[in-house]
Amino acid sequence: MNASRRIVAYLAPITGFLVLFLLWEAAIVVFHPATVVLPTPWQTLRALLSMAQSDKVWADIGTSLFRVAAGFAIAIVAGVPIGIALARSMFFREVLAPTLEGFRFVIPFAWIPIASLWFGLHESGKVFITWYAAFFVIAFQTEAGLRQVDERLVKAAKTLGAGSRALLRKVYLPAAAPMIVTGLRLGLSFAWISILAAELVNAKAGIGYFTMNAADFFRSDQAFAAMAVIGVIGFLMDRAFRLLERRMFAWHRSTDAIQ
Amino acid sequence: MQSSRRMLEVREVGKVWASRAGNVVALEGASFAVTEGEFICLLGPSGCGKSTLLEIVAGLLEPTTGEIVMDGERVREASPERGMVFQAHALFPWRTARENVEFGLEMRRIDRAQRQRLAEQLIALVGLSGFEESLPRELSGGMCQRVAVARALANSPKVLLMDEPFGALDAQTREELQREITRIWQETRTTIIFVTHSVPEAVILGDRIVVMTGRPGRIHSTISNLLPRPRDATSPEFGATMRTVYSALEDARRA
Amino acid sequence: MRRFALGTLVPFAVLAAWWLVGASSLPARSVISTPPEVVMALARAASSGKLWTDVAVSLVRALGGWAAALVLAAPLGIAMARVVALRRILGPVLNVLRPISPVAWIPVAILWLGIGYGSKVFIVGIISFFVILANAFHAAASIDPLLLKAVRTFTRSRLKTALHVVLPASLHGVVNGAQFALASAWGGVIIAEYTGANGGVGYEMLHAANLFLPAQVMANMVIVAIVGYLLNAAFTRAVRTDVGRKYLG
Repeated sequence: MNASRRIVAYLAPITGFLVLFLLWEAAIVVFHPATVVLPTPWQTLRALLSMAQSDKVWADIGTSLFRVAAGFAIAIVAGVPIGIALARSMFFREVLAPTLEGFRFVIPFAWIPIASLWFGLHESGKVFITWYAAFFVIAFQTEAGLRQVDERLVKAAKTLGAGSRALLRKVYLPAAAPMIVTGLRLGLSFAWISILAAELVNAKAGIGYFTMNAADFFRSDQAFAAMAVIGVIGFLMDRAFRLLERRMFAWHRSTDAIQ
Repeated sequence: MQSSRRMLEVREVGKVWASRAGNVVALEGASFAVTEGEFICLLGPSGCGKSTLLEIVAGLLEPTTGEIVMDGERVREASPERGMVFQAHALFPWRTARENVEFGLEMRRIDRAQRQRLAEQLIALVGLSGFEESLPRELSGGMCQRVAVARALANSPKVLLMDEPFGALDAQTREELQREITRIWQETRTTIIFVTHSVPEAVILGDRIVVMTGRPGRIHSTISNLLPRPRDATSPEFGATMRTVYSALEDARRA
Repeated sequence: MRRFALGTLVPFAVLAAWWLVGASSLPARSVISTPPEVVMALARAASSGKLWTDVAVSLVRALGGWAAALVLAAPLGIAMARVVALRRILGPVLNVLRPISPVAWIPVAILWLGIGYGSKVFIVGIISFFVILANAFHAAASIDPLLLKAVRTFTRSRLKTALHVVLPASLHGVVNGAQFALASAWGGVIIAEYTGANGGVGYEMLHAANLFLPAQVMANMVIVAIVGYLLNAAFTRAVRTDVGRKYLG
């Protein structure tokens, strides 16, 4: 890519954010909302800076990341095997799938009162929510990935002497890996998005808690700043995952055309 | 010297598929025998069940009636003794050429050093030295099929089953690979069952050509091809043999 | 038949467990109630007509936000997939906004638009928007390049290409996204109402929870589940017609 194209490539996202800020300012000028309702970009920026200097905020981010990581990890450990079972056993699928599909669309937020009751103040309450957010997409993507494995690959492996365990480990899983990892990426993003909901379950720390707390105390500038932080972290996680995917699956014929 | 041992027998094999629209008879009463070391072609129009028959011989499918007997034992499942090469896209895309060829050796738990050596030998045999570390997506269709042959041969199969392996390739590559497979066959003396719908291909390759009818698939006749190798597709003898085969095919189509 | 029976195994087990726990102790009863009480609460709501009004209110909000999102996100997703400049400019911005949970938008929405229909439609809209956007984008980005090349031999007009090739080819992605978004929209409206509204199923849930009427709360949850299921079934029915099949395969 030559120099001018590279400049344009960097400029483009900045333009996007610029447009966002302009619209933001315009909204303020036109609607004159109280700063309690809509802070100005500058106020938000200042709040962001003061947050960056606060150790507690960094600790909060860490706490939230930990909760998401824990829920995500458990979702992988539970979701991938269940996805495999759903793909391989008709019986398992008929018993479990309707229930799973039913719960899939009940968003994590809905479990807050129950989680509050079951887990009280314990960390596991928050981890339950982040786990819940990631679990279903991981399980279903794993199943879908296994189902779309080209039958010819399986036939070829059988004629090369592969038994059923070898088939799973050396044919089905590698062939399904791209879709499974996409499921992991989506699961992580859902888990991170759910952090706000998770930290409504009796939390006293975390970036989600910080956001809601700021809103409660009418510090909308801090709330917006925190929301921006959540957005950026989510964006970075997504990017990192996609980079990983591109590296791991260089052998795949079609690469994701998205950014 | 070619032995005259009957290695594989197809006995009254039939296959019926059940579907919502009623039963479909794909194969009916197919019978023939294969001698060790021969190159036999299954020829027939599209949809005549020859691929189905091949998969039954491989042990990937169960026949509805009849059986396959190899070396006196009934074939019940797929095994590396019956290596198979498919029409296309059956290489493991996440493995390099060498790793693909090594797959069968891994299944037999052969140690890494030996695996690598064997794989490299086979890749040289199919004429792809230098491309061991390439991924399938980096190889042309013809090269992929060569790897597929090497992969199947890694297990020293008693019979090599090939299902229209050159069908997806352009004419030049197809001719080149026909020469290659003849050479490989002569060097390894593997028994080969080769499915095709192309008469010239069958006459170029086969010692015997088994002509099949259309739906339902039945064996119509077997034609011996005694042309000496290397075979010249432009010679009058070749043309005569082709005419014999074509008329048998026409006959089969009308049957 | 057998499949249906198997599928109900787990739900029945859950139901039984619920009944047992609910009936076991008074404190449990006051939190999660028991199935028969829930059924009674449902019956009461249905006969008094309250059920229908509540569902109607929530449905209007959900469908409104969903439709608005569809109209905005579908063309935008397709456009972003095919116009590089658009993708580069809007992509990062949207990617940063996406992880911000709709929950975070609730207080903002309420402050801007009050606790009536507006804020709910806004929240539902946000949820649906990103889902449809992603699906439309993905479908439009995965169009077989061979198809586009073939079209180029017929016309150089980008508009015609867009109309006759890009749109139909992206349609299945849009429909998929719309279906997912529908489920999320319905769930989302309940959440949005739960945290501040007047009228609607979610609001009733909050109301009942505050009055310590667990049977009502559970009854409303059952309503949510049933309506969600029906919405999805209706959508699938509407889409899987012959016309739908022609375009979507």
